[in-house]
Amino acid sequence: MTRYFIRALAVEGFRGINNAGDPLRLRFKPGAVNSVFAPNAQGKSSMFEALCYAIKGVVPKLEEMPASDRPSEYYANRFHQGSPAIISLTLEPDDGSPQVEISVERLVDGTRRVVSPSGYPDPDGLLKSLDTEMCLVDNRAFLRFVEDTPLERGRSFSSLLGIGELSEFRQALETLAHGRTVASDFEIKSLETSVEGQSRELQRKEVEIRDELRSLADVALPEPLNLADVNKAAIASLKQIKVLRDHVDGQTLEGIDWSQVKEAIKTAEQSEKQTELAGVEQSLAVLRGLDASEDEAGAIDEVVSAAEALDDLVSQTKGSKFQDLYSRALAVVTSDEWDDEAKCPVCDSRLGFPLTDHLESCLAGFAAAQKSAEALREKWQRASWVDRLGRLAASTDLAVDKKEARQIADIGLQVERLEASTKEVGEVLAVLKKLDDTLLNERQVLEGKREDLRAVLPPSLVAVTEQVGHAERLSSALETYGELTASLDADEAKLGRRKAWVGFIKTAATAFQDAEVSLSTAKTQALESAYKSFYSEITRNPEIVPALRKASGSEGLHLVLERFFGLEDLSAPSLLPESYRNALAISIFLSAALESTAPARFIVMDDVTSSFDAGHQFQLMELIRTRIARPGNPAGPQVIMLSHDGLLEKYFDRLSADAVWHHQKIQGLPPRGAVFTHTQQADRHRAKAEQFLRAGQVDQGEPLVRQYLEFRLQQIIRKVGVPVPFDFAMRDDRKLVQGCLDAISEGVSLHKAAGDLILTRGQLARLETQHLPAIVGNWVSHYATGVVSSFDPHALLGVLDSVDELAGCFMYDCSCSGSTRRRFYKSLSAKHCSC
Amino acid sequence: MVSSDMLVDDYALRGDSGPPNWPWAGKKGEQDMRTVEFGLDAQPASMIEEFLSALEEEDAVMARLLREALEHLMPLPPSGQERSQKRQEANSQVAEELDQLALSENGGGQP
Repeated sequence: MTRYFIRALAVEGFRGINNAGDPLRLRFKPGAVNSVFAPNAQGKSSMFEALCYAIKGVVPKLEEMPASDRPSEYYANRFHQGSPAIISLTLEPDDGSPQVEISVERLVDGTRRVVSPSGYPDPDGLLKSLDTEMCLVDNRAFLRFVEDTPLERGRSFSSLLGIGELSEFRQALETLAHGRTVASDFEIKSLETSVEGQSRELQRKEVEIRDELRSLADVALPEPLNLADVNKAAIASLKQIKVLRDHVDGQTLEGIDWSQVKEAIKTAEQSEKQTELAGVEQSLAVLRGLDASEDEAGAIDEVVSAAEALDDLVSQTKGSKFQDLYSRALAVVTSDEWDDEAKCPVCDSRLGFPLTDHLESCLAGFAAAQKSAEALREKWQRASWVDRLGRLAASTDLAVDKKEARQIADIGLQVERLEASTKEVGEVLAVLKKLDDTLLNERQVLEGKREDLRAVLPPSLVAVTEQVGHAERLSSALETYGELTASLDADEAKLGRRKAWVGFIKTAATAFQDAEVSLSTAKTQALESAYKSFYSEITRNPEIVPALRKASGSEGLHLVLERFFGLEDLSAPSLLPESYRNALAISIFLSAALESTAPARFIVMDDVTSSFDAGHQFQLMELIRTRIARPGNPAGPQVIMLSHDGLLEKYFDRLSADAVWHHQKIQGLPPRGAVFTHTQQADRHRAKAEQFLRAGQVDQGEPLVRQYLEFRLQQIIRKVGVPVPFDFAMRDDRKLVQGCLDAISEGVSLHKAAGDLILTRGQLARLETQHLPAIVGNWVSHYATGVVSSFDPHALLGVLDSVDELAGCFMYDCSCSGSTRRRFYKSLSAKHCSC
Repeated sequence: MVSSDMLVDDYALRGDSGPPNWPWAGKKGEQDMRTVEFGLDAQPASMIEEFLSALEEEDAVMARLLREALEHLMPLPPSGQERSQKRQEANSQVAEELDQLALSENGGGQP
């Protein structure tokens, strides 16, 4: 996969950079460590934010501001009016293909527009592909990483490992499969209740069908019920009645016109009394359907017992306010913020026992009561007598008081909401008893009426009317039975499909979660050796050994200390001082960066060392220079460091003398004025000194000659490792020209006497007979007099040449890389290679 | 390679009566368990696609519904409230399709 370096960045009209018509331009080298220094408020972070906007489409700091602050109005520079903010990026592919130029504009109305002047087909897509957790990092990223909860840290770490997409996918699956919500979204419980209710109703109808058929035809059909057999037996029975034969012959029960049948009986009977008898029979049949079943008493006892058990458990708790208190207290004492389990979070007093156990025990009482209430609800929902009570209340034959019907419904709701107790159950049972009494009374009245009618009607037609009544009710029951069966089948199929989905999504989520955890654990372990080594290199403290621990089966990631001054397995965020915490965070980021294969082959760091101790800062820079960044690590990323730290500026400046380091400085008058880049050339002092001297301006040139001399001589000492006196090493005011010359001369003499001096004879001769005397004679001796006019510009130009040639005495030609280059000796007695 | 066993305790939940071609049809304790494997060097997008394709091979209908639900849900909204709303919408869409399937199996409509 092609990866990209940043070659150049130009910004106009964005954040603190105005530069109207003359963008601030920074150039970067893919083959060098890049540093940019700017004092505070000179536009350095604006450059970083410009990169954020180009790559991420937002400036995170602005996006985190409250909407009331109108953050969108602060992207463009407030003094850059009327034209869009422009960020131009030049990217260099690492496979040698042509550079890609991309221009990102923020128009006056806030719209973002991305184009590629070099003709790249999908510039916005390319920028998006560069967006990883580690391509643009600032101090906040490290702080967050350390201070986040383990879960949040685990998720951001997944992004760091390049598997953030898996983490998001896993969260999506978990969202879809979440236990309670998935069952609720798919109404599983409600469908189950509906299926159970319909099954019970179906069984009741089957009993009714068998009863009516037995009364009509004296036939008992075997299990399972066969509707065709029912029809056949009923029709056969009706056909035996002469007065009905013409109306039922060749029909099914469903097809019979019962009004015609009744009319036929009426015609045969010629009696109003017959109609009345049929009505009475019908009403009695309805009332019989409201009778209690044989097992009803047992079912009532079950509900009563469940309500009593619930009352008992509820009486052992202290009410919902305490439940809330216990839950919140438990959340506090089990959180990362609470470190003493035996301390009360409300009054801070020491308890002498772990509060967690106590709170869990109290909450267990509430949980038991909740479970008991759910058990009561379940028994209630399954109780056939509750169904019957509903039908009694709805019966038009009993003329039930509306108030009682409402009371039954209200109590049903209380049970559903888990708010019922023995009191409500008792009230319902009282209503049931009252309705049963009314039912019994009504039946007795109707039965009396039926006996009266039978006494005055001819016996044969009374029996026929009764038979027709049975047949009509049988027909109605069969119709209901058919409808119920269809509805039940449909609901069962629906429930089956939905349950299958719930099983599917839960299993898929678990499988993916396990695999993702395994992968991120393996990837975390793969980084272990690198981040531990980096951390050790930065802090130089073997007493502290950090580690990343994946929480078992979850995305959580803990920062721990494997070793801490002899102690083991402690929390890193709790114990490490700020500089050490940042060192740990950056070690982890850098180890992940080395493993990254993302399209962005660069890391831009904005002031990441601002809370580092000075020692840690330099160790980190050395780590980056030698082991992380190109060219020290040829397979590594391009590193671009932005800093406002004056100490680091000296370090950057010193290194910029080498080709492996590219340093730039930003200066100007932001946010209204322009900001410019100053590239720090290694020989800038020499060039400036030469310019003054050739113009005869000795006063201006002389201090620069001195500076250049000191720079070059110290470079020799540093590169070749010339031993220096202790005070020279420790104090800047000792690093003067004479001190440097003395150290170099002493070092050369020492190795010469030892017989292992690496300098060639010619180099040694030129050093001793030409360059050292020339510098001493033309510079040091005059300088010591303090008389400026004693300097001759031509002599000083000669001093500049002499110091360069003196440096050349400590260099050799190296051809290791294929081409010949001048290189400093490794020491006064050795080369870097065998060239 | 890292792997994770995929299995389900009760595949009777499938709700259909066909041969057990469920991806996790093996009951606990049986040898033939399916696994999900993520290569250390593979790209996340291809891992996800591979995972979905594996589901598709075993149950094309469920896998299709899952893709539709994910399309609706992703990218995941940062706020819990929005996420919950999107989840309900996605699940409601899945439920509707599942009901259509059930209806069709029951002889009352088209899938």
